[in-house]
Amino acid sequence: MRRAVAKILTILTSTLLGGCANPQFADLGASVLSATGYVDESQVKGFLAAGSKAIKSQEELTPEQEYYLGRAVSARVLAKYPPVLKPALTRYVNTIGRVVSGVSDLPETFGGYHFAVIESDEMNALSAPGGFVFISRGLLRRLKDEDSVAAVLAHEVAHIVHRDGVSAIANSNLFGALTDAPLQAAAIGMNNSSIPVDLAPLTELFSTSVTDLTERLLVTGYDRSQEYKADEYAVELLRRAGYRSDSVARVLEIVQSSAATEHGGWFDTHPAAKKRIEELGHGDSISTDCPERAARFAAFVR
Amino acid sequence: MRNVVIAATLSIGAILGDAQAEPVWVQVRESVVRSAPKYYAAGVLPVRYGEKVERLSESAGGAYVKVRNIQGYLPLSAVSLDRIVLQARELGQMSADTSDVILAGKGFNKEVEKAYKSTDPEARFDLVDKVEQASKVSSTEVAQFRKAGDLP
Repeated sequence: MRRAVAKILTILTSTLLGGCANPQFADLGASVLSATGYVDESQVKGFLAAGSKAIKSQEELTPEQEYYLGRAVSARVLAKYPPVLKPALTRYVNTIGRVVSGVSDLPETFGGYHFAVIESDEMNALSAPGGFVFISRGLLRRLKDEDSVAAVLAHEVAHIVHRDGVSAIANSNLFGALTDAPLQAAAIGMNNSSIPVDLAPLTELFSTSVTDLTERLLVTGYDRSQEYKADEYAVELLRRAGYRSDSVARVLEIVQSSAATEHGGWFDTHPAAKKRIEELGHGDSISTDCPERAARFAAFVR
Repeated sequence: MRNVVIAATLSIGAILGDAQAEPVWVQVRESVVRSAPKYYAAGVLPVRYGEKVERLSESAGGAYVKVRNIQGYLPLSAVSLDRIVLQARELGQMSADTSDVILAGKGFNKEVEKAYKSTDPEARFDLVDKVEQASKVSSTEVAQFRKAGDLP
């Protein structure tokens, strides 16, 4: 019987979400469902109200959904590039990351920011929705100071703030397909998890989204305009945090100087460093080198 | 008499303040109400996902809020105008015309992740868990780090 209730709810909500939101129909549906004895009329009406809202609120993922998407993308990234789990280095990189993400327009994500060094000799850094940021050991090794580390992390934080990862899958049917989700959550709540919920369509959508985004991060890269905007925003974050704001350009010079001899990583997924420097300019920097920052960079990275 | 005037002024201020108050909901797993509209300002009260707070005003630096009789600031990105319903059964207690609702755990969630894991055995969620665990840094550590590194 409970399965039947769930099916009726599915049909009702699907119909409503499909564009047949008629108040009379909703009232009729509420009466029919409440007659089953499993739910009362107010529950059904509240439920349908939530369902109709889903149409409006699916224009973007919630922070919670971004977090789970980011976790799965990170699980794929880390399968290819395992994390370097050295406590002191991890803490150092995360503290720098917290400094730059804290001055961003998205200082808090659902699950918080997480920064990790990954095993790879390529010069690479990438980020996943929800606050996951990765910098390769190869890139870290080539950086000259803490401000440059901050510049790389700030660029990746910029992608998260701009939600570039989610936009990589925004052209699919992501938001439309997610409209079934409130139904599933509500069904679980009303019946103490006793209604079996078929997660297959949602899982398939999730899988497709993870694949799209992972490929974007590891193979094709973001659009050039997204990269230029991330560079520009990274400069702003460095300025706000007190780091040398010309550090983005200094990092790009390092990348450019290696372009003739190296490939993979950033060289495949990002516009040419020379072009990025042209777009960005060097700018000036009000911050100067700091002995303490130089000392701790030497201690943790060198 | 002077005290009466002060009390009356404060009361009017409070009434006007409350009149402009708008309910918002915490949309991150955990956050902290801070003493100033800056992420690095001192924390005064921890809040959790789905908690209702009153938004008294808003600026570029954050939302000025009141929660459990404490006032302070939360980042704008940490709160949602949409009501976040942690337990779906609460839907039954809502009026029929309630429309601004986000169901916690809808769409991509823990259950979907669990189902996805079974389809992609190569995905290393165990490493993601390790990264999450290893990346915890306290606000105090960040503050000391900034001070030592001459970062404002």
